Amino acid sequence: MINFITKVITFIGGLYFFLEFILPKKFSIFQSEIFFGKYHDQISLSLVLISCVAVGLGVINILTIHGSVILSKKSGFSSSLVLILSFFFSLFIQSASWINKESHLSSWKDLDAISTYVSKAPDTSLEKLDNNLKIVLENNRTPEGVSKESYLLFISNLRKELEFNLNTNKDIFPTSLKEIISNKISEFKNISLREHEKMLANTFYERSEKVILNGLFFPLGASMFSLLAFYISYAAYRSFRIRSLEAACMMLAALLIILGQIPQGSMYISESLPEFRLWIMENLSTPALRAIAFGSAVAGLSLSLRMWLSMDKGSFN
Amino acid sequence: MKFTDRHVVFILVAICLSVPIVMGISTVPAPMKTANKAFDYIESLPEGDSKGVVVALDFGPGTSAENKPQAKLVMEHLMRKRIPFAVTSLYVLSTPFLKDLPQQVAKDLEKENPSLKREYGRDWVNLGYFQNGTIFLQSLARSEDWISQIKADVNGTPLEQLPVMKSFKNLKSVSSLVELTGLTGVFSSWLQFFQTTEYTPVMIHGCTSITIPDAFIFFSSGQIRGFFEGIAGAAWYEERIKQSYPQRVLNYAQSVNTGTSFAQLMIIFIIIIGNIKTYLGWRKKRSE
Amino acid sequence: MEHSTPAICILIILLLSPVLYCIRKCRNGTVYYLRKIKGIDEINFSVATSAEQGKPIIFTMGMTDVSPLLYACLGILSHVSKICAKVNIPVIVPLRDPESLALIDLTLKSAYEEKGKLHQYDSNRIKYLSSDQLAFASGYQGIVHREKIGTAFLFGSFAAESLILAEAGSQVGARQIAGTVSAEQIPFFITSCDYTLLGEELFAVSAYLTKDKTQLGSLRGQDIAKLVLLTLIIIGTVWETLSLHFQYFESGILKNIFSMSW
Repeated sequence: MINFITKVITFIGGLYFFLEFILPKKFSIFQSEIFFGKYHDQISLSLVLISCVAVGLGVINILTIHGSVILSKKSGFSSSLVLILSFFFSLFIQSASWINKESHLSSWKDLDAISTYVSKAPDTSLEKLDNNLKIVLENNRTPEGVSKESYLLFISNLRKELEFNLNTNKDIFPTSLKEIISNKISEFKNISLREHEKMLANTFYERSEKVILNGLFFPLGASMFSLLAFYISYAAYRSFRIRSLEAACMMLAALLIILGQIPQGSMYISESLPEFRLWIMENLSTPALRAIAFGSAVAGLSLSLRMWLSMDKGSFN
Repeated sequence: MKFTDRHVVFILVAICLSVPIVMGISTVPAPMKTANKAFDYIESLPEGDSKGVVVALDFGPGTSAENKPQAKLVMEHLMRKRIPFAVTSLYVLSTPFLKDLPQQVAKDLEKENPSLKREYGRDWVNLGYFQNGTIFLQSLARSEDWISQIKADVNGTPLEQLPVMKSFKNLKSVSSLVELTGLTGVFSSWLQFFQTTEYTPVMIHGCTSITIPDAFIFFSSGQIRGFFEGIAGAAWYEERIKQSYPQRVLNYAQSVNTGTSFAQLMIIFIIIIGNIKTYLGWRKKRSE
Repeated sequence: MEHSTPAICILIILLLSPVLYCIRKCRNGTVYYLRKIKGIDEINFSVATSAEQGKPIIFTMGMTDVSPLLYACLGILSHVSKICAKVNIPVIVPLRDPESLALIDLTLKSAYEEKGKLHQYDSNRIKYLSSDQLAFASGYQGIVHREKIGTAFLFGSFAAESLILAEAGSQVGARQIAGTVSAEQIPFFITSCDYTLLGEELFAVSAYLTKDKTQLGSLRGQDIAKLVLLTLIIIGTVWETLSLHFQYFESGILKNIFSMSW
């Protein structure tokens, strides 16, 4: 019974995406218009949610394996301890940093709302804008990282900009005034954000995040990738041997490609080397890769069909 | 510790790679037709164009050695021509680059010539990391109003506030996409989904040396206008920028390219030594 | 391509109907010829060698996420783990994608259960290392060196870390068999591994090992589908060549057919 339900769910899920791709975006049937992919974004997002849940599986796996090594004090338990502690420390730091950033961004919501209102000019009212600015002054909510005096002064200055137009013609919101106000808000926010960032840079969370990311994670990633340079060189030295005609052809092609892409090739050997290299890449390498890609794509398509129709026995029960 | 062939090869490669970079040696790179096409396209865009360029930085620290110079050169070129651009990414580890790289390039340009001052919000916008990947790309391509779709930049600033967003109303207001990545499959997603049946922006790609053969498939079929072939492509692009802007003193890619070229010559040398060694070994065996 | 066109629908039918037809024929008793893939013998031989040396085996699927490719790799993992269960050597499976953890766990458990060795099965041998490509490669290197691996199987989709993974095995003297659909990584595997399966041979191995009629029929259908593609390529090439010389043949007609929308 469970197998049958699984097969039905698999089929319906696959059928939706197949029809969404195949059918026209909008079509008429029995004189009614159908927009099949109307909720496609929401359905696709639900798949992303499932992937998010799977991250928890990975975390449980790490904690189980390394936790059991630590508890039973097997060999290498100190490495497992370091891994678990650094995992929780990074999680704590990243979460704290994210919460700080979110709360900082949300503290600007009053000014952001005013800015959005201004951007809709001339379809907005000067009087209403002035009222909104008055409310902001009364609310006393200052964005994080900005001094109360400077913020209140800034809002008061904005009101002063509106004063002249309010007294002359309050029904029209001129584009020039819109640009002045937008630029002032944008400038004030950019300067405040920069100041806030400088201030944040000295907090424990930011400094720790910098050490973890810029000091450890990024250099380690770059170092791992740079190992490739050494491994490629050694692999080339170890395996490029002219043992047959095919090996000789491969070596010649490799030589032409290397010499064609380095400055010394075109400088000291021949100016046509880059052209030779391009010819080899476009006419020899690319068709071979395309052929492999065709084969893999057709195989993938056929396997997808078998999975969709649950035709495979499967590697597990 | 036994000193083997492996150690000799590693030491030689390390010396060849590091000496040019440390000493700042740079040579004129080999011409690259693919980088030429990318340069010519961006150079052909009118100065102060109303249409924007989307620059997707889908790389992390691993491939930053090749992709970062490519990103800086493209942004520099766009900034020099005052073409508005939006930086974004489908890869979470690129978020520091989205913030830092345009600022670094703007600072470098301002140092060169104060009249080249470029500002965030007016000349570029950071749309941040799109966590929903290809799903978001599809909805972005279909959307008629990006401002209401994306809503805010990475700082939480509503996009209506930013003057640069006039150039990013929807897909049709984007002239081109420059996508820089070392990951497999990411560029195919942009290529497949960042277009509609009515309009396809011009695509330019930047890849690492490992994925060059893959990128050639798209180049020879005409799906991409031009691309950066790793650091060598970036070096030639930089050479073209130098030729167009002789007062330029920056060096983003050429010294690194010089280092890699010496290392590649070293690889040719050690392959020859390896073959000679094998041949001598055969001769010795035969004589025995 | 965000959406299908009528020509794409026709192409899908042309490519998939041979697969369905051949699966049906195979299930009804038709026997299709399958050429010997050298990698199969290498797989069995490598596991036997590791068993003699008393060294564990490592099986990695690299960057493969939950997709048809993962299912093909699980077929090979099932075969390898059955042999390992029989000869009593552990198989370690480092992971990059946590979503596939449950599937791999089920596969290994089923394999051990089939051989009556469920009591030997240890789920801690499936290790989720990291979703980051290079952190995963670093963790893999550590496992290979610490556990002194006898044989390494690298099947699936790989990116730049492929050479790091292959070199790690090569440094400890392990036998290595690789199979990948990532065409640009094939040269790295060829230089570092004892045997490399190219592209769709990876899918074919799964059929070869299980001798499942559905998979065998599907292999045959895929070959016919590739012939269809080849025919289209030849028609297109001839047509475009003739269009240069004869006005009757309109240039770009096939391209226009494929881009025509509903």
